[in-house]
Amino acid sequence: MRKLILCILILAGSHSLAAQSYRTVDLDAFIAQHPTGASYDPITRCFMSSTVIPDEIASISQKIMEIEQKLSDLAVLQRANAEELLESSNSNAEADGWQKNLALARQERDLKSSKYNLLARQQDLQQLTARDSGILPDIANLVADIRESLNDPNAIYLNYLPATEAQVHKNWLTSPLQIFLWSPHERYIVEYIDHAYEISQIFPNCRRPVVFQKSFERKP
Amino acid sequence: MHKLQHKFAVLITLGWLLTCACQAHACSLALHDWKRLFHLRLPLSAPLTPLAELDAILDKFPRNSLKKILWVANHNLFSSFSIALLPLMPNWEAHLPWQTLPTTASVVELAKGSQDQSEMPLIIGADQNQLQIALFVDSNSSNRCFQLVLMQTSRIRSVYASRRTPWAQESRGMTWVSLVFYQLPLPGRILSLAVFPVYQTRRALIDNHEYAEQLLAENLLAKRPEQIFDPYTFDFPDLPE
Repeated sequence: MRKLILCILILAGSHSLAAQSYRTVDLDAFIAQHPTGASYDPITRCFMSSTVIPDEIASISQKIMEIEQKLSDLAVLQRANAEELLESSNSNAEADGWQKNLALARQERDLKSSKYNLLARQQDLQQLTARDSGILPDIANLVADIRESLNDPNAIYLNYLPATEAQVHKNWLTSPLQIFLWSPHERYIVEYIDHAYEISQIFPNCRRPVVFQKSFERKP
Repeated sequence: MHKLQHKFAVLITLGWLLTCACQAHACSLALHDWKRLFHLRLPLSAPLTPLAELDAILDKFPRNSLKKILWVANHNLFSSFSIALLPLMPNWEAHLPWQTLPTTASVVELAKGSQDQSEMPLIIGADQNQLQIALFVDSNSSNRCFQLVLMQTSRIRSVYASRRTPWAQESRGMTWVSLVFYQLPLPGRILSLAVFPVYQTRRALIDNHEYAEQLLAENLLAKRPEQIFDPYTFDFPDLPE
């Protein structure tokens, strides 16, 4: 009885997936043609054409320069305020001068705080360029571009990856998946998805790629 | 006479603590949950120490560009003696001759009067001085760990009446001493003693890690998770305005 209920639940759960449309994507070709992806250098483990981190560092340097200019302009105002205070002839003028002094000091504090935050960010980025994790922002951009190219949100995208030399032995063909790997026709993977017991663990997300052998030529 | 002896005893104790000071982080092992037990606010005629004044002028002038500092306040015996501790501070400004001056006029007026002197002094005035005394108890230690805080606040106005580069600044000065102890403020029971500000940050004069670890091992203090540590936050809750 438990097995029957389990089977009904599995079939009910896999029904929506079975009704999905299938499309293909050649991730390998996409990366090879992508301006950033194509520039990957396996020796230095960097994307040679990447400008993500240098651009951000340059942008931060520009902002720091702007803040320094503002601080320099503020210093002129503060000097003028000190002159006014020293020339004040009565206590009211002196009190006004100190009010203005406080406002200028607040501006200075805010500008310096922004400058220190930017300097800390710049230092973090400079340290990141020396690490393998420095390519992560580029990979994030690359993945975003790939996702953008997959324009059907409900389709299962079948991805072509490079074929391996090792072939699946015919004697191992015990399941639709193995049959598909031996003879990669879409109908076998559809059949596999339709009849798999734990489909959600294999395809928890419609966009999870299914591995095809690259040698497979899809017939129109 | 007895009162004077007491003030000297406090001064000598402070001096001893500063001499024995070594650089260390404040109590960073235990996680305290401070509840205020007691709070007292007292007006002061003059600051007890010039640490906040020193902090207010930090990095404001090129090194060795100043010759003398006049500290203007309604000074008492304690504030007058406290400048004797300045040579213990690392700042170059602390090693200049500091002279206490009673408040007879505004700092601006005093600065105007100093413009014709050969060695123009930097005038630093402190008023609206207050001393706050607070005692906190740590509810994470079943109310057995305490923190005593002495906080001094003042309005600091500084003026340098140079004809080429005049400078003036108003700021709120704050100085505090924090003593964390277990059950009693006795030498063997002190977990940490910290002072603010030294180079615009808190400086731990005593940080008894061994004792803290012993109390943590006996589950008398709550252990601080590694991710809950911000060296820039105060170790005690804000005092009432």
